[in-house]
Amino acid sequence: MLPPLLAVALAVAPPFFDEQGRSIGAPLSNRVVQYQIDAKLDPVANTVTGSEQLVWRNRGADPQARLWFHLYWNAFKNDRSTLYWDARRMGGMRDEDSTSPNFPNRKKDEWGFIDVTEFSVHEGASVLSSLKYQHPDDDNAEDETVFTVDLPEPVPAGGSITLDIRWLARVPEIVERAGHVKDYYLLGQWFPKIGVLEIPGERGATAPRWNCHQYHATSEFYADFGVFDAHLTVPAAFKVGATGVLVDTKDQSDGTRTYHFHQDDVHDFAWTAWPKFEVTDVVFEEPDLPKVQITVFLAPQHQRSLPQYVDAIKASLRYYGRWWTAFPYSHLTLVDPPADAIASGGMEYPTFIALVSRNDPGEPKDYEVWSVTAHEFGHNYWYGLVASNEFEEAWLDEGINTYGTSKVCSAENVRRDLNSALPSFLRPWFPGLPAWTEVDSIRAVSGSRWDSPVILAAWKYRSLSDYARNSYPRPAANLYALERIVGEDTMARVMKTYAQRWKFRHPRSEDFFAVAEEESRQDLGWFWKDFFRGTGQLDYAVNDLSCVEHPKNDAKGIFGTGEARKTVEPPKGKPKSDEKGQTYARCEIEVSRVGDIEVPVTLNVTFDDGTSVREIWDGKDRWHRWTYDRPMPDGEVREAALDDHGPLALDMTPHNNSRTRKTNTGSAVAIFGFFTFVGQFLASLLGMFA
Amino acid sequence: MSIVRPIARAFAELRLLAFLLATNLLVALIGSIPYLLPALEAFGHSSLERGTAFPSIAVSISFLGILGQSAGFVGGSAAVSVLSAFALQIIVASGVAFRVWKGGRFRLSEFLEAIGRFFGRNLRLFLWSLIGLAVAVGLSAGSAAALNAAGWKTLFTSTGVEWFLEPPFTFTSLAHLAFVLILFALWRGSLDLARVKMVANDEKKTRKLAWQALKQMVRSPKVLAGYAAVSLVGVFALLVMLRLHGEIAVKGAGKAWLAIAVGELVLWVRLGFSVAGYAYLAEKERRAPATQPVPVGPPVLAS
Repeated sequence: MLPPLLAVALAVAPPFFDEQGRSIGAPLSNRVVQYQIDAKLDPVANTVTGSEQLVWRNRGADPQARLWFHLYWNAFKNDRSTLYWDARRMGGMRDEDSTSPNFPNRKKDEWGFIDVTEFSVHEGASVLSSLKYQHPDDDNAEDETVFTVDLPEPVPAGGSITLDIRWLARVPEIVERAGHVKDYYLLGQWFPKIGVLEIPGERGATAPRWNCHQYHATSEFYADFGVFDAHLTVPAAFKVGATGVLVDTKDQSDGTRTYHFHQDDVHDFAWTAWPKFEVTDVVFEEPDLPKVQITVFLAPQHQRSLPQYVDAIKASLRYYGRWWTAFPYSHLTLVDPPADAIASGGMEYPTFIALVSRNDPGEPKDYEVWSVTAHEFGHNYWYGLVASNEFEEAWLDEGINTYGTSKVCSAENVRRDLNSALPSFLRPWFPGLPAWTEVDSIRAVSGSRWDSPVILAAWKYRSLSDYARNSYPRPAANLYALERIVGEDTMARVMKTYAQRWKFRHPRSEDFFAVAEEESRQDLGWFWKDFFRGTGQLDYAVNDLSCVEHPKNDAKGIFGTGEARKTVEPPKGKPKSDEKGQTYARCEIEVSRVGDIEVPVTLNVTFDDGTSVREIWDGKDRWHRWTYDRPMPDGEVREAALDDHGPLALDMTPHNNSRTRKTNTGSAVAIFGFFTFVGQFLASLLGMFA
Repeated sequence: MSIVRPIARAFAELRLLAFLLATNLLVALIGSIPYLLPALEAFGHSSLERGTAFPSIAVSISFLGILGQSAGFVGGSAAVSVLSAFALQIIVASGVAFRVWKGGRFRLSEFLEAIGRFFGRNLRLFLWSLIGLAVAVGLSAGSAAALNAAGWKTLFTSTGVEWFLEPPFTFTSLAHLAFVLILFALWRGSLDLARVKMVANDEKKTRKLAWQALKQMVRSPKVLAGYAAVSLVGVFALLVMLRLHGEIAVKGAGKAWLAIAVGELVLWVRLGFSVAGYAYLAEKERRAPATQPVPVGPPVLAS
């Protein structure tokens, strides 16, 4: 028997939900919506026929006579949708080349759509005739991804309404992480979903307002929490995974099977179906964290990735649970798509994530398997629990999650390794190929001279890469810089407080900033202004370091007045020693502010005798110069380097942040040798054709 | 015939290999010298990533950013380097064939004289061989497309994502790869054999030479297999040398120079096996019965 204290320490934390996905005790969220969905998949016609009963609660102080809804799949209906307009304007969308003249290159049976066929107030009149497509973000009258309906009676303040909705959808060939390839289906954003009525005090609202954006090429999602209960009917051969907990299944005489899933306190519902899935169940159990049942839906050819999936998801549950807040849901579904449906991988839904794996994964920790698993699961915190608005502030999900992903990868020593990109039988032959960490990757792509601000609505970026850079690596790099400014422990408290305070509440950037300032007890307004709202570049350079040897008194010219006036000749030849045989080194160091962002900088100056001094400069002028006069032979400056323990970690050109007096030939010769060797090798290979 | 003897013969050609390595280096320098100045400018006084093995990510990123600012110049020099390399390889090929056929002591003047003497014929021979290359490429691409249409992925029709996620090493794709390699070995072997025949017989009719060499390779599977075996041993040796090169962790100027030196050894091996292919075919040619009358080429090739 364990001692009482040890038993307490090893106890699994109590669950938040029962085995049917229903909360134990008080609801975790404010449950604005309750969806009861019945849907049937026809894999021959590639259609989903569905009905939903939606209970919506008006949290506002004003009656609501008009309700706003998303119909995401109409973005895939034709090339006139806002999504495709955006993709052409922004130079691309996920997994598709919008520069092709044939873009979007879809065959006639690859388009998708969703039609609302009936819409009525429960036990009341149909309001389908009032359905009207809306275009709150642009003037594209051909976009059908948002609609409103007008109710015969407004929903009173604090009151609820029950709606009966029927729809027919054709499943597109996979696009933007949803759709099908052959008989593999991943169905996300697939049903008519009500928008968010924001109330005063929430995300800066001063009066109730609907937040229901069109589906854009770069935007993701935003929805209210509630209860999702779904009955999904498919041919019996299909294996089905979905958000929440599988409550039961029922076979019908027509050869179909109905899967019943339920989950409280989530804001979306997604599912997958494929006859070829190999299904594995594992359990996550750790002291001090709630137990989580994990079901992996694996493409058969990826069997070798399964152990790494399990290790990666358990590590992520453990780290995030302890760093931020416990993952409260009792079940988690992992979907591993086959290679020809990989466009559906790398996507997150509440308690349901689609991953990316390989049939020949790198060992011991394949970067794709680990980083994608940690990343998509991390979304279950920022997109899932905290539920910020991804349309308007993508960084609050993607940027924070990229930071978190890199933390897990660092803790587990997961590195992107070119060697593991090779087939395994070739890997032993190329051990020296470059490998880099997630932090390296973030640093590599976080900056550009053409950056837009980090805080910007997703569809307002210049291009897809502008959106991606400013939503993923740049804010993650900013968070690393913030970590250096406030310290690692304080940063850990910032993340934990933010997650715990704002889960289930839809925060905005200002809420994150307030937590950071509260925990660090610093006014960080300058940091938010320059690095999240601004477009400036941080670039300082040590652009000069020179030393001149001279005698102690090397003055020249006319000195004194009257009889005391004397002319001193300049010394000639080698510097003359003073009376003690001592010469001096006069060294000058110049640091320039090349970029437009001004931050305080610290310069570490090291002398030949090993001593060093730290110089502080407010960094406001375009340049600053320091001069030192020290006795030889060890008085010369050996090196001057800007301290990157702070915002300078975000400097655009780190190679010029230091300068040595003597030439450092190592890197130069290495680069020269590398390119020469590559050139020679390619030339010799070319010889095979000559 | 053992493949050991021609390989040993090739690596005994120290002066020839030194000449080939030197020309290879000179051509490569055309491409790499433009990198040196920006590299020295950027990193000559920087302590970025000091003590970290090259190519560190920080240095690589910074350097690529710098190169990006002069992409035209750098790209131009790389293009000149590639074109020069290609031209040089064609030009010296007749000299190499001459050396392995003639044997004896290597004299640079004799080598250069042979290159000059066979320059025109060697060039015409190469141009004739392009017909064979086009056929080989056509058969490779056509078979890949046919297999792809039938639902079988080949190594050449798989997308980058498929290569990364599910490398297409299936029986079909490997069989197709073997087919492509045989076609390539047939083309390359017949070109090398034609060059050997050209210097051996001082033959001037290059179209007939190309056709005769191709027929001889097709009719002599053992010769083709031997030639392919020399090449495969060469690939294996190259992998070993690359593995050695990869073991050097460049953390300073000394190791950087060592990496350059080992890189030259890698190239030495690569060039050595390239010469070994000629040596193998020269040996075969020497042992062949007296030259048969050169048949007339196929009508389609008649000029």
